[in-house]
Amino acid sequence: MKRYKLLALLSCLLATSCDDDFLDKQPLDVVSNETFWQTEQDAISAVNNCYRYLGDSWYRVFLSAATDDSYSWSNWPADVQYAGNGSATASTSYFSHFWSQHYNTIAAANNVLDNIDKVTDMSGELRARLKAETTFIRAYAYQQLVGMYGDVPLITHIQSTDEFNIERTPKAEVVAFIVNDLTTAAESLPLSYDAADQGRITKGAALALKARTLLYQEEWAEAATAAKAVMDLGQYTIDDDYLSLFDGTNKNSHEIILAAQYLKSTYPTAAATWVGTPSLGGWGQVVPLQSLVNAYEAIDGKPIDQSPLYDPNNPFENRDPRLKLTVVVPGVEVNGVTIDITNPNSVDALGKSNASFSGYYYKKYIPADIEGNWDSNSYNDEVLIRYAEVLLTYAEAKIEANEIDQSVYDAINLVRGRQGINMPAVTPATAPSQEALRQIVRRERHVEFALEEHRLFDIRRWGIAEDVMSGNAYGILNNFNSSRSDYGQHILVERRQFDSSRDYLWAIPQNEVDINPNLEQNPGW
Amino acid sequence: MKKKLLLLTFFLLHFIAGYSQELKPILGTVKDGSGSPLIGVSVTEAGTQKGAITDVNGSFQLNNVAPQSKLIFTYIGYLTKEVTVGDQATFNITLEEDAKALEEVVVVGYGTQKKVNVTGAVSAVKGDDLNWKPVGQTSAALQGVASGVTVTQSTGQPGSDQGNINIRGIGTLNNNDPLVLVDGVQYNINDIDPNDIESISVLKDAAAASIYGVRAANGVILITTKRGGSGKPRVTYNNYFGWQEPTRLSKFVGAQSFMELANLMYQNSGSGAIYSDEQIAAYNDPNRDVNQYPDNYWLDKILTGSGFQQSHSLSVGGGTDNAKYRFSTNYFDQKGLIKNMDFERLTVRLNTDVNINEKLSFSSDISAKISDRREPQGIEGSTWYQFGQAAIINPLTPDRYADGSWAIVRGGQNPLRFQEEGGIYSYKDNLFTGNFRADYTLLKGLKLTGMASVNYQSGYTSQHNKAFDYVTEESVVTLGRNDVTKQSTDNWFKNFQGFVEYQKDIANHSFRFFGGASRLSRTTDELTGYRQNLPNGNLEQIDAGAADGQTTNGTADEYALESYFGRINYSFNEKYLLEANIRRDGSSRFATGQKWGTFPSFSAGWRISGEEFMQSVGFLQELKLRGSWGKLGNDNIGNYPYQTTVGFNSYPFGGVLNTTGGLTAYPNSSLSWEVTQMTDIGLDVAILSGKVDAAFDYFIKNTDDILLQLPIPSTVGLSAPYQNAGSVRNTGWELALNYHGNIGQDFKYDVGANLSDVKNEIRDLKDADYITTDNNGITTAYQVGDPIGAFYGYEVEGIFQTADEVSQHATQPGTAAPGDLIYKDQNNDEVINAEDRVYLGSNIPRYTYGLNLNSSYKGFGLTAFFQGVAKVDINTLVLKRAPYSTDGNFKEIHQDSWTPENTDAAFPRLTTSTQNYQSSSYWIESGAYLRLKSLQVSYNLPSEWVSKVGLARCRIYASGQNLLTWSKLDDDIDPEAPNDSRYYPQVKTYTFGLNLEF
Repeated sequence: MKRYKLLALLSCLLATSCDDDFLDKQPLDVVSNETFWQTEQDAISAVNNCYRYLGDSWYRVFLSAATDDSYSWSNWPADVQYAGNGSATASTSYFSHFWSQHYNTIAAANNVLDNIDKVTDMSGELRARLKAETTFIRAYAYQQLVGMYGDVPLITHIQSTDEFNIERTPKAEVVAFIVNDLTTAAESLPLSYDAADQGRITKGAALALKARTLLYQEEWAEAATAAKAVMDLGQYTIDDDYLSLFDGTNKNSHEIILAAQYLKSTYPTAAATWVGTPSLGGWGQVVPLQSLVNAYEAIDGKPIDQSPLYDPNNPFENRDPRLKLTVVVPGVEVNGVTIDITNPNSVDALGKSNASFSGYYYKKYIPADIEGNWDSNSYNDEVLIRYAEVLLTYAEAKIEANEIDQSVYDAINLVRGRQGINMPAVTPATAPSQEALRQIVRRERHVEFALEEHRLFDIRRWGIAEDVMSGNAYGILNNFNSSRSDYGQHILVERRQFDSSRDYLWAIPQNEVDINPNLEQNPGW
Repeated sequence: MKKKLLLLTFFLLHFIAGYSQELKPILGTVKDGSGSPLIGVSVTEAGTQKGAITDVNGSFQLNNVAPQSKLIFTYIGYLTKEVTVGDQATFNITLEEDAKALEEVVVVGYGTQKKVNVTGAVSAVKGDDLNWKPVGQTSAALQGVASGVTVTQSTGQPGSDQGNINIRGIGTLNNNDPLVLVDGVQYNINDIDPNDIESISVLKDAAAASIYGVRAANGVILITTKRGGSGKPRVTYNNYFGWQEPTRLSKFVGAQSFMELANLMYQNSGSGAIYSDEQIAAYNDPNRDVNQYPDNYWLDKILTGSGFQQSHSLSVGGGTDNAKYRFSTNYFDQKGLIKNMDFERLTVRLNTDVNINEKLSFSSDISAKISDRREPQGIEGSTWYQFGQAAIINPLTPDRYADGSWAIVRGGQNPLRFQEEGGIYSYKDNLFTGNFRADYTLLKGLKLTGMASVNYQSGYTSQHNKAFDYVTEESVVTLGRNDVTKQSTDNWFKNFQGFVEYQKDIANHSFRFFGGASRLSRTTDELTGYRQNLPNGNLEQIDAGAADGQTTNGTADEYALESYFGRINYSFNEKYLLEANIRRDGSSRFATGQKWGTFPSFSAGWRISGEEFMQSVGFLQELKLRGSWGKLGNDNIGNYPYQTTVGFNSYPFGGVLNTTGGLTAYPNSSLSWEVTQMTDIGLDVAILSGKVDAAFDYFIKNTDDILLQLPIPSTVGLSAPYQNAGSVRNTGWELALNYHGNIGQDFKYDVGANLSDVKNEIRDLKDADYITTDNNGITTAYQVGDPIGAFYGYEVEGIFQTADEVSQHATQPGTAAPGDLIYKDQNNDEVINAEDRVYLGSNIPRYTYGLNLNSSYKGFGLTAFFQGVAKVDINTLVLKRAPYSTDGNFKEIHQDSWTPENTDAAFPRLTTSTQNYQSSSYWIESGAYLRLKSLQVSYNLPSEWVSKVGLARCRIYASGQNLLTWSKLDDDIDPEAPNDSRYYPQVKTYTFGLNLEF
């Protein structure tokens, strides 16, 4: 009898098991996408998530090293150096970074737009605003993509697996899509937000990005109209303090239309590492070239090759004040430290570990105070759109459309006449022709937006990349270290090549072409 | 000795006095053929429960033995001997070695089997084959001991120097770790002291492993721990002391050559010289100001640790017939090559066996492990910061200035300062296990077993960072933060199992049935806290930090597995053997409807040597043909792979962080098992009176539905989902060969060799074959027909000598010039691009072998273990390329780079571009090697000496690990772990040790 009891006991033990609860294990710290879209807060969180992709300072601060403005001496974390000197290949990882980054942004936005209507308990106004914010972020990613790669796959929802191997869409179609989306978004976006929502996308941002997109597409009249619409909003003015826009002390300036937000220690960036001098604990990785320094006018508003005030022996004196606010030339003070690369004992001097190869450093984008950790030392926002751009977009569009009137001069002079900059006004007398104005507005963009993200797109659309990106790239005039073989000359930083049949567009990343057989490579890569 | 004589006299007297009585005490000794005492021989009186185990002198005694009864002496590996007691009172028994080892028993899934009856591919290893090696991690000791088992060690860092174990090649693109069970319960192989291991069985084919179902695809390792025997307590104590040093370190050039090569590189790239002739010339003066003109070999400078290690193991075992125990403990302490980079571990184990009555027995195994791995503060990892920095910091970078102040290196913290003054990272890992088992014999041949196993593992990580000030010419730069991260993890593992076993013999037919069920669950909880702004660098607790900016993170995950399994064995006359296994597993890792899988296997054996017609073949003792087929599974792909989850994070608006929620990966809910099907044919042979034995296996292992994250286009914008997408075939063979020989009485030797080959081939990837290039520029392919992760790239035709050659050749990528590598135009389209990349080789080793030599002469012993790989390709791109900037080091090989004056150079011209550092045949080299992994010389002190101090045995030894290496690679590359110098190197170890038995 006893043995049967035991047997029964054992079979119980073996059989207790078939309830499936035991095997039903759900993640404990996340929810599934199917159960997520319930509340208003879910929708807001998902839209907030798209903003995380806006800031990309680790890489975007390096963008200017792909232009005639800057040089990056190391290939880590960004091998942008090869994009600058023409030795890049389709495997250059800088190219694949932006490709992935922007499509990650687009997927995050598409996920919101695909699902947000599942949330029923939400006001129509908020829903429209959230959709518009999301649409803007997606449009911004596409605007960047077409500027970098030309034709790109246009994806407007989360793809099903049979859609993965997508082809590229012609750039014009993508641009039309961006413009259309931004026009719609602008209708639902507010002019401004309460303090708690500072940093969200506004109507001004949508219109400004629309103006930029149209300008890049050379649709001059429409670009001018969009820019004018921003100017007419009455929301924005040129700030009195140029440097404060970039050093974290003036985050809510009326000049800033959109900036990727950062916070000290809890949501930081590494900007100070990439641009800071060794004496500030930086790695001086992105440094200005002589060609940028040369672009600053003399104090009389004339280019240095035309101005009597320019003295080659004192090249940094009598110059546009923005030079010393942007570039650390010998003797410039940053955060209380006087930087002087002509002192051979300085850690910032030529040939020192992590020191500049050009002899210059950037001052712009150094935060006003720096934390100790290399990857979290900065909290200054990354300015994506500001009023100065809108003004210069307006001016350039009108100039190119040859509709030159006083409003064009006014727009340029607002930027040049910023308090503390006070560069002489441009007048019909000093710039009488369309060509003269064209050169002025281009020079103005060059110096005003140094180290911001515009230069790469500008030299491409103006068709001047083949001129400014080939030949020798120089640094500071070495009149201080006689032991070097370049004494008396400008430091030779690197020799650059530019293949105009290839380099006006970046390569589609090799890994992507390898995976997706329908993705055609750009010519020459 | 006196005491023994007294006893003897007493017994003799008793014997004489009581001859007329029926029962009497007896005593005796058991020795082997050479006269050495045999320890642990079981002596039983036939037909009774009475028995004894011989002690360290081979002695035994039994009371109340009847003269007509028989004594049975059994000992594994020896022929059983029966002696009738008669009127004898003392017995000097000599056991003969069982040449055929027919009775040898091996551990198989959920039980044991006589070796002759095994039909699967099982490698059995004795604990003694492992624990002579002075290594801290048991996995590393497994290296080379069994055919088909590849163990690679990638680092020598204390506490992280585990071996990666692969059984029969790489079957999956996921985790290839085999399932390890200690006494039937899942375990981390490194949490057990090798001294506690009685035996290890490696289940290699599907027949042997399929009873472990969904966790068995990568093979199964069964570890059996030592248990107590009855008799007086046996005490052993083992220790060793050793010193480590790196096997190989990269050879970098000094400061002067560095500057010359850097200038050459920049000038080649169209820049100006970086270093002036004046600066270079200054180094000609040995009395130069080293502050201004430093010349540091950083890789050597950071090796400030003692590398001292020690191990102490103590065990006490004994008991009565009905209650046996074995207690053991081990303390292991390993100092690193780097100061404060240490590992310390204490293990304790108590195995107890109790026979409650004739039918019911109970065992309880309780063990604990306490370990602490320590590192100096680092950035993105401590070893990475030490070695990663030291390999890149150029020789012109000072470490300290003359005034003693520390220098900034590479724009960051000084790794030497971290060693001297930095905070400590500590990784505590504690494990408590309880394994309880009851066996009940219901009827003759029918046994029920219940097992309950509970493991609790807790980890506590503390990462304390200090901010440091660095004084420069113009400023004081503060780098880092005073902050601290504390992380606690709790891991509960529970496993309840029940088994039924039934055995029935009918004439020559023998049947064995086995059935069981198991439920297993694991829960992990994790909590992390972080605070910064601690008031000074010496405080390291959370409460010392500021609440502002603090963060807390926590998570948990769960896993559950429910299983039913059964086995039938049939043998006829121990000649014809059949076995069938089946397992059904349900795993929480898959969606409803996909959770359950069934894994069957069948095997058969034919002992040809058991046939009548073979009896005349005198030299052949054993010949067995085996064959098997079976299915195995793998669910080792993370806990929630099928779920599309929303991950939470944050983004600031108005200066305050807001919650964000976003998709983490592309969803795929139709995931299921990886299924491995394996076919195995094997042959076991023993000849020449057992002096030679061999086992050969040939197998085909097909893994289908491989769970892999096939890369999807980045345009999808989400990380790739797992898919059941691939098929991989591993075909291979294994040969194990042993020879036991002797010259005269005193010199004995054993030679054991194992050789295996596995050929890896991707059979299907759902038309999603792809090639991918990593951050280092190494291109690998996942293509049908190639091995997994094959090296791909350009074929190099030489080095361009003239500009004409460049212009006449197909257009090269980037900016080619004389001195650059010539990439071959494979498709003759006059342009070198992705289309021209070809298969270059594979890093999956072919022909891996191990050679164990063991010899003894009187008390002396010499043991050597060699391991090698005969065919493997290594991509040396990362190991041999030159830096792209002054942020890096040049090697001696870069001094032979191409210049217009040095046109027959081995290395292409130095430039700042990646032109020559693409994946190409130039970098693919043979990684074949042979290494003397372990060598040991030992001496057993004569027993007449040691017995005087009350010892049963005293053995002293000296040994070395990784002493010699033969390889065609540059002599600063370690072929076993061909990592660049940014990783902790493999270590050479010299040890001295002592084994004592009481």
